[in-house]
Amino acid sequence: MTLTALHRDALAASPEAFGDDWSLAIGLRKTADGRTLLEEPVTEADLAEARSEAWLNGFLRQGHPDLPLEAVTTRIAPLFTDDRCIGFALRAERPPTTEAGATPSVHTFGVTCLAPVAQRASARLLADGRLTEDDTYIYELHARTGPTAPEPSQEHAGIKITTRTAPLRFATRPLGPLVAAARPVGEITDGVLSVVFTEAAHEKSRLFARRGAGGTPPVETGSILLGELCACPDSGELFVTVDDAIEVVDAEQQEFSLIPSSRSWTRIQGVLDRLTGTDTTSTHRLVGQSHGHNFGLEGEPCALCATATECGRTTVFVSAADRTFMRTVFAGQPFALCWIAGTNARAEEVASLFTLRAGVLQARGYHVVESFPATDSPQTT
Amino acid sequence: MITTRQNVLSNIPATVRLRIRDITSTHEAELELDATLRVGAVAQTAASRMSLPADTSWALRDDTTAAFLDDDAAIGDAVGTSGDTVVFLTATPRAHLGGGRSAG
Repeated sequence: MTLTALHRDALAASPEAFGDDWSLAIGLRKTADGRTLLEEPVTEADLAEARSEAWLNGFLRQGHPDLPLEAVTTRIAPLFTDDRCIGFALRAERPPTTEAGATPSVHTFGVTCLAPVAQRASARLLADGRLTEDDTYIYELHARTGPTAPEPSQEHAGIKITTRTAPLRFATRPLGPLVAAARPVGEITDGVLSVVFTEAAHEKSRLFARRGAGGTPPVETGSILLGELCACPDSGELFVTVDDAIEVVDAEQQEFSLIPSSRSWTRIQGVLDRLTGTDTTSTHRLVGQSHGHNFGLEGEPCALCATATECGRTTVFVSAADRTFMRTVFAGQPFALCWIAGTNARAEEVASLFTLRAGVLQARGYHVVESFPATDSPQTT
Repeated sequence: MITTRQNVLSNIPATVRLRIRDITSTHEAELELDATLRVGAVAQTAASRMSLPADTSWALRDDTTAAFLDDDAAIGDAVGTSGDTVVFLTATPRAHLGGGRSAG
């Protein structure tokens, strides 16, 4: 089953649009002019990544690394062109009672960031027989005034519960000199969250991701990345550093999946607990994961193979499972890293780093340095 | 004399106290709850209240034994302790990494 999103690049939302409550839904059709088979509500959970990304780009990266996610409120407005809803915008603001200095910011998202909603809807249609595995479908965004669909209640009687979210801990480190001394990997795009690996961590990420490539059949292997959030005192930017990778061992390694076990997680959390319990490394955190799509590509090389400089057919892509892993393990952490290694159709090793951009995990460049200079004292919000 | 309240129909305590964190130790919840509640229901409630995605299935892992608790067991049976002892657990999503079968 394949899918196509009907959308164009998001346009700016008019300020008046934020005055209303809006609810969104994804409609599925078999063809562009066919009838809508199902309308799947976009829930608060579906918007959680977009909201946290608005927090990252609107505040954390604007000199306010100490502002907790819970302090930011967002309003949603659909983006229309002609009569079609082509995406949505979030206006993020901090409460008026907090200190001045952070103005509301508007962040736009295209329809593709709601692809998981379309996949959920398609699963329903598959289940009731209205779609088959061989069908293609088209999804589009519908908007109407009214509150966003709430989640089904998960509450149970007889539970007294209090919750807290740990303050965001970060180190203070100038970004400019770090990047100046680094080698870029991939295309560095202005305005995208900066990510800096040490050479050693970068190599471990690759090694652990590709360890399963030599098996018969090859299996998926990987690591959890350790590092810090860093606030740049010069620019106000927040960025991510990676200085170690913990191999995911004792996991269920299959040809097409890597399933951490209870022992895998216990080991990883043990390392994290030791680091955060030590003064000099207390700002360390799990910043992401690396893994290998080590299965080979099927079929013959394409017609472009003889002439193209680079081969674009690769096993390096963010799967639905990868996305679910990222949004659950790293919930509310829009700076989390998804590093994937694999091969292209020429059997060459390739890899990409993906981070959230406009609600979608997108490939992007990053930097690698020999080592990090010592940081100032750790900071906690 | 020290007494422990017991559910008269079983050997499990009437209440249990839990401290649950997520894998990244970002979110944490303290719970005091009816020991007869099912582990699966406790996991989903805790995840939801910890701002973890409620549309995902969550498992609870005992930080001491490293074992996943059985979703269908009563939480009191699963953690096997009295109402006065705090049990440390980790909410773990039933999620995995992997490329599936369709390469990009």
